Amino acid sequence: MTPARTPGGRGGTVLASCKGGRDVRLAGIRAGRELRARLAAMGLVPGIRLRVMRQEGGGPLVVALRGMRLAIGRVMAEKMDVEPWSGS
Amino acid sequence: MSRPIRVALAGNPNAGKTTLFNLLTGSRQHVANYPGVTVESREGTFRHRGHEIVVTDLPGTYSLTSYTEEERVARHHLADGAPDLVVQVIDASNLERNLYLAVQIVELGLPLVLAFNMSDLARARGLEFDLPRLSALLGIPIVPTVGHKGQGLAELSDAIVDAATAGHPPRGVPRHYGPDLEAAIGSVEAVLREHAPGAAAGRERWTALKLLENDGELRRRFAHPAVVAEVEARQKHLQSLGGDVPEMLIADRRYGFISGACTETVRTTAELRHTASDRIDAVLAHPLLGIPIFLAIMYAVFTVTFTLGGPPMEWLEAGIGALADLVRRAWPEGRADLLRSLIADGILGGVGGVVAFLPNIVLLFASISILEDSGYMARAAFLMDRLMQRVGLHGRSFIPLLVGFGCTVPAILATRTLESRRDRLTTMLVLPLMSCGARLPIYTLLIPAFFPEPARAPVLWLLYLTGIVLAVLGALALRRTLFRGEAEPLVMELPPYRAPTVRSVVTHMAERGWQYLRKAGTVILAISIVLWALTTFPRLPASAAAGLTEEGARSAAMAHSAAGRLGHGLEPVLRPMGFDWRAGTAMIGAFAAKEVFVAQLGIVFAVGNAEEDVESLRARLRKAYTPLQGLCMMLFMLVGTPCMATVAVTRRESGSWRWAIAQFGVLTAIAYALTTAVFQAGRLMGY
Repeated sequence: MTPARTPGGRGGTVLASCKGGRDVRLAGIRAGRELRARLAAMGLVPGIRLRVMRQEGGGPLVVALRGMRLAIGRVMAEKMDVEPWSGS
Repeated sequence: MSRPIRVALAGNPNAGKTTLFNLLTGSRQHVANYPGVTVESREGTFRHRGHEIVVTDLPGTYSLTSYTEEERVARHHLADGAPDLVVQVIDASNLERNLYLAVQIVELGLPLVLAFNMSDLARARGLEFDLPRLSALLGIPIVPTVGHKGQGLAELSDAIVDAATAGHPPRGVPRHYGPDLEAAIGSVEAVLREHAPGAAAGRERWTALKLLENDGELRRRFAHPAVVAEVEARQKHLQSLGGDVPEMLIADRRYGFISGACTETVRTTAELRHTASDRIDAVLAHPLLGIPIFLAIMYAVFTVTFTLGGPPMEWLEAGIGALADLVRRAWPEGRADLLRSLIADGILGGVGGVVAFLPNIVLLFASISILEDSGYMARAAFLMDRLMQRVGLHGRSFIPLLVGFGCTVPAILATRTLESRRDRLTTMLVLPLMSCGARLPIYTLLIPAFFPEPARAPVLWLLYLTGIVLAVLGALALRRTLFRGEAEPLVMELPPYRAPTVRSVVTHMAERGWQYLRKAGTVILAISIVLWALTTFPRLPASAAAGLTEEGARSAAMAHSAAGRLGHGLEPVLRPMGFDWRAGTAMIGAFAAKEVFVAQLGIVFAVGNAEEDVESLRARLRKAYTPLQGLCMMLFMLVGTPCMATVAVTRRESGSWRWAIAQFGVLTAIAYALTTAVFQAGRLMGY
């Protein structure tokens, strides 16, 4: 994990800068109410474990959560705060 | 006979809903489009144990909020359509997120049965489920099914009839949201009962919950000041207690309950493996290989659509042409000539114009359906997203835009794969700028007429490029004005790859073809007849045609007709672009289809058959116009006056004439300004 880039996180960073193969915990999403609620419906609620499946600089990344694969655009991934996953 | 049982079929996108729907209802189904929306839902019927069962296949959704058109349609049907029973298809490999929807259906108070679709993927992942336990936790019946093998259908049908005829249908147990949220729900419920009695129709709890979730639609419906005040006070209170907005706290609670239920009932016997889908993606969505593979697949789609579709298109056109000839021959000249011409030229010509697109449309939708059902479409969007984001469009817009080089009409239909209406309309409105195949005959006539050999290919290239650049600018402009707002952020499920079924592909082909014929076809036919009338009336008196050759007479008749007069009348307007009345008249005819421009020019320049006599037509054009004027004609035909089929399909797909007319008007205005600028600048430079 790269050093903290977002204020207040415990070793926190944004999803966009996570390396492939990492397990992270979603700490929060910096977006409007409506968008956050929509993402929550897709399973992206704070506290959920995400595994970064693919990450190649530039394009969208792929994460695994709750048994599915989600493609997340870079702009969106920059707004998703994550922490290293520790234990279950 | 008893009343039919009305079942709503709900589920997440890609959960296997459509497969189950097809298996249940067989061929007894039809598409029901909701007025004013682009989302469609199907209805089908079947009989079981003496009961008639009507199934509505709702659009796939993750939730019952009202953010997307799909959600609004699904929710409206569930909340206001009062089905007797909801069957939700659950994808077992994706249980948690699927149950999120189930929990909300239970909250609506609707009887629910879960069709637990045990996909091969779930099996491959080694998932084991304690279904009786899960059923008890949720308070709703669960029927295991294997969609693509048709297993569990009889059991599901039994469960539907049992649930619908039971004295107490299984409504499940609404979740308890913890003391803070429950207190807020309770007090909003009380205010609702007091100030809006009856308005929530026995769904006070659900309404209160949705109001706390800040649901736009319900907030508008329950705008009583007392209700608004209570909801806002409670929201503020909840936010201070929970540290987040209520909708997030509620989502968190729902997922909390679901995770708990899943921990108790799901066992994984094998470590989550690298699935087959991930292995396929390692190639198909590869950062370097992905795009060439995508382009190759697109090339294949193109070949199928336009090359394979070419011969049947010609047969259809030839068949209709033969029919028109038959009418002309069997119907002796001189008797009711007008009716003869109306049937042979107006109606049959129009029908020809309509059916000519049919092979392309059917084949394109076969391809799209294969790409969509297999799961590849999501990967294509994933690959193209980076590029398309810069234009302010979604990755999926790329496919319709590419198809637009073939023909705008199927391309506009293909925008259906876009989920957001903003993306869809933006793509649709700029689509006519992608230079379609019907403009090519215009270029192939005019370019050799005015440009010497080494310049021909660059001129053609420049025309295509101009279209692309204008489409990009147009999309950017629309994004900054009419469809402003945060660019739709890409968060998209990559469903596991699946083999598409023949049945689904055939169903799509038939449906799209039929929809096109019925909806767009009628408009195209009507416009064809109007255009026939414009180029026929008023008729040239026989005395005026005397002494002219056949070609001369046709040319004179055209000049005498409304279209010719319109061309003449428009001449002052057209002159800044460098056009005379003859070009104007040809353009009016070209509204029927862009390639008609060539035939019309042939008539006004009194050349027998434009296609056979290309060289003599080119020679006359060279005499009449400068190369600059020729270029301006091509530019105008590229940018302006989308053909009537485009107008009809845009009207149909956008749901209103407003967009179709705006598209036509704005594109024509841009074409006018651009062509005028080019012509005037060119003249100043001495061309």
